[in-house]
Amino acid sequence: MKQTTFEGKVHEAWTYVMDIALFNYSLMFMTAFLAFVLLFALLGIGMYLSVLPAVLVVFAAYMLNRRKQHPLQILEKGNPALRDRLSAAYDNKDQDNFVVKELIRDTNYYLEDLRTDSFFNLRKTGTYVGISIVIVFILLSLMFFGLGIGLPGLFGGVGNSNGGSQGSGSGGSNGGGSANGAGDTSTSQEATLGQGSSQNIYGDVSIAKIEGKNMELEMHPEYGEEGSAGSGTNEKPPGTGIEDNSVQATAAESYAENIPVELEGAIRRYFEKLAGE
Amino acid sequence: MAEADTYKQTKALFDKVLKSMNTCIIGQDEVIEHMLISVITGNHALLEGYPGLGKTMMIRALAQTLDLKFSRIQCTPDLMPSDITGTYIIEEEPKTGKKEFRFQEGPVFANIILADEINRATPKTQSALLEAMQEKQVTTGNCTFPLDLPFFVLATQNPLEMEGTYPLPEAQLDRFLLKLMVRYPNFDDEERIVSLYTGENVPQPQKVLSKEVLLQLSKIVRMMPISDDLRNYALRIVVATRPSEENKTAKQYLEYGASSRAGIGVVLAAKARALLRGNNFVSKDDINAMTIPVLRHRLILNFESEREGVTTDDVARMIIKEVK
Repeated sequence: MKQTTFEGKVHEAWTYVMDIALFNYSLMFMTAFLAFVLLFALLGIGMYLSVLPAVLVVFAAYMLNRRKQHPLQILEKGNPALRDRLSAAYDNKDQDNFVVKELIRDTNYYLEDLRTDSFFNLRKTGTYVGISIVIVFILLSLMFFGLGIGLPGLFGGVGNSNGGSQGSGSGGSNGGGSANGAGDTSTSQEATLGQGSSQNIYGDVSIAKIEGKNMELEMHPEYGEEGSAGSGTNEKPPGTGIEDNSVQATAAESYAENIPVELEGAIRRYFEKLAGE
Repeated sequence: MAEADTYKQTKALFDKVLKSMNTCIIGQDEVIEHMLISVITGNHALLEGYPGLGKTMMIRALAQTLDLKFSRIQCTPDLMPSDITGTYIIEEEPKTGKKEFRFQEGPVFANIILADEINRATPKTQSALLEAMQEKQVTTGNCTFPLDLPFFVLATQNPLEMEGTYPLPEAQLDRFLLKLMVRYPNFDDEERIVSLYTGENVPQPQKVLSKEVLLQLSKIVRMMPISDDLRNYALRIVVATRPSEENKTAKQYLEYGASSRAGIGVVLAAKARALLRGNNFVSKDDINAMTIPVLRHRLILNFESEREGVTTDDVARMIIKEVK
């Protein structure tokens, strides 16, 4: 509703400024929150903790600005024609003389012409929005390209950030988990139990013929896991060959220990032969 | 003319005064404005400048423009207080032959007093002006005589030939609202001055303002609104001139800072400046512009700053920069 009195007009303009300030603080909170999410994700700290420093940043900014500028000064800053005029009129509004009356009349005129967008700091707002977009982009990149940060890292706290990797490793021949490394914990667990997709993401089973024996070999050197179906026919389909309770992540250096003893000699000789060639 | 009408015409009146003064005073518009500020606030001004720059002529021209009763006191070391205030003389009544004392008013009984080279008068004589300047009255014997209002003392002094002079005491300096520096005009202005004063007719200023209008302006000045923030700003500047642990600049350069009267002076002068410029409120520019002429004669430099050649203007500028 359009105000007619001087005080009403000042109050109206004041409300505009307060609304814009509220918007700016919300934007500042969002930017600070996203920045802390990114920082905490990199540090492996839970996302929910980012709220606290973001609130502190906004509160500190509010306290600093509150000390720096009176709302009347903000109105004056937004419109140079009101500079010193508005506060002089407002502080002397109770005086009854023709000079003050004329000043209030002039100030009313300038207040009517007041453009609310003059208080809107486009540069500041643009900066906040720009920073937010960049942070969101970085977070999305980290999530989708799996560059060491997973959603569990954002949500779940310390220790779960490599859950996806664990799943794929343990899945072994079953191949679950790795593709869903940024997925939720249930996906990770599924992979761990070896009950994921039956598709072998590591490629087809290799059949090596060594010393006359057909050997079905799956080698996942990145996880130090090797599965063997023994000689002859393929007895079990991929993804079902490991018992639930026998699953353990094994490091690369333990590769040799998992080779069946009866095939150890044959395999060694095969690789020596390859090396000789 | 009613006060409200006078108020509406203030800017136009000031322009007229300036135009009238410019017929005989060239290149000193700021000094003229400040003299007028001093006049409409009911205060006094001290003009300082080298000889021959037109200080005396400026004050005389202002008196003519304002159509006020003007008197000039040429201060010398042998000038007596009674030469300023007036004295009792014995007068014989022609009819009865009875003799009685009658007070003969001195030159101080005028509206504008030009105290020329005031620093050549002895402290005793300078002090005679004190009561007149502050109380706007003269006391001789048991009688007190009020002075006709408006009453302004515009004094001059020159910074040269300091031998045989009596620098004004701080108490008296504090009674001058402004200390105005009359500086050399620029080349173009000087060319005009030479041309003007070597011609056939020496120009004379026109009467522009009446005594009544001047008194109305004095009332309007006090109605000028100023924001609490700006009043606070002016006060902070004045307080910052007092040497203390918080006021580092003042502590470094000054022996004594400005008085409370200086704070009143800054705000009042800023109000007058705003009025003369046709504004209906006091701005920060007004405060900043009037701070230096109000403070420059109220700040006492310490030995270090005098040794380094720092002036009170420099210190005032530094303090204005510091206070936000």
